[in-house]
Amino acid sequence: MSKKSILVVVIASYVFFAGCVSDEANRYYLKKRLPAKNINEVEVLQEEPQQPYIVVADFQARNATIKHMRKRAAEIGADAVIVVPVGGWYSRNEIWADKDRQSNSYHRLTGTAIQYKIK
Amino acid sequence: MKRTHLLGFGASCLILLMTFGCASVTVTKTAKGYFSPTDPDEIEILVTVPNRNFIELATVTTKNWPTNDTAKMHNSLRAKCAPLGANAVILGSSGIDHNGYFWASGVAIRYKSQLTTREATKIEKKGKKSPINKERKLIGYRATSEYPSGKIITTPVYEANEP
Repeated sequence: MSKKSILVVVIASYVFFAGCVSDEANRYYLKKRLPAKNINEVEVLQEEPQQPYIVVADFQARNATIKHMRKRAAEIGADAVIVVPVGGWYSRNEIWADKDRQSNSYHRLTGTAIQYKIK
Repeated sequence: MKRTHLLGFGASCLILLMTFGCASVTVTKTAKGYFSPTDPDEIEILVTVPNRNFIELATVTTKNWPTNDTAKMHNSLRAKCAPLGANAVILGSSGIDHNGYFWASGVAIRYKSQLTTREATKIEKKGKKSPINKERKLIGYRATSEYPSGKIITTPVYEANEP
C-alpha cells in the first residue's frame, strides 16, 4: 500500500470515527421505568423550565447531536431534555473570561431528562 | 474538489487549529441533574479544597497550553465550566506533555449555598431576606491589581466560611 493510500485510510478513519457517538454514559434515577414516547413529544430545552419537574436521567456522550439526546429521552419516557454542550476548543488569543469565540465547539453533549410534576 | 482533497483539507484545518490557535478543554459531567449557568468571571480557580460545602459537577482537563499562558488556561476553565453551573474549579494535577505544552486537570464544583435565582426569588417574595445575600456577608474591599494608569481594581471580600 502506498503512503498516499495509508494517509487516505488514516484520515478517512478519523473522519468516520469523529462522526460517531462515543463514550456514551447515561444514568437513570427513577425506581420504575416510564413508557417510551414518540420522539416528537419530547421537548428540547436549553435552560431550566419554569414549571416543577423531577430529574429522570442524565445523558452524556461525545459527538452526540441534540436529536440523539431527544431520542434517548423518548426511549425512557421523559417529557423534556435539557441539553448543555460542554468542553471544546478554546482560543489562546482570548483575553476575557466571559468571551469564548470557540463556544460553538464542544466535545461532549450532556442532557438532563425530566418529567414535569404537573401535566 | 475530490473527496480525498476535502479530507486532506479537513485534517489540515484540524492540525492548524491544534498547533497555532487553540487549546482544548474536556469536561465530563459527574453530577446529577441540571444547574443553571454561572458567570465565567466569577468562577474561582482553586488549588485547595474550600471549606464551604459543595458538590462536584464534572471532571475537567485542559491541554495544549504554552507554559507561560497559565492565566489564560484558567480563563479557559472558567469559560467552559460556566455552562455547567460551576462556582469554582479545584485544580488537582498539572504537567507538561511530550510536546512541551502545559496541561491541567481538576474538578468543577458548585457551592451548596448557591441557590438558583428562582429559589432566591421565591424566598424574597415570602418576605424573607435572600440567603444568597444573608449568607455571604460583605466585610470590605481589597485592591487586587493596579493598572499602569493608576487605576486600581478592587474585589469585594466576604466572610470566608458558611454560617
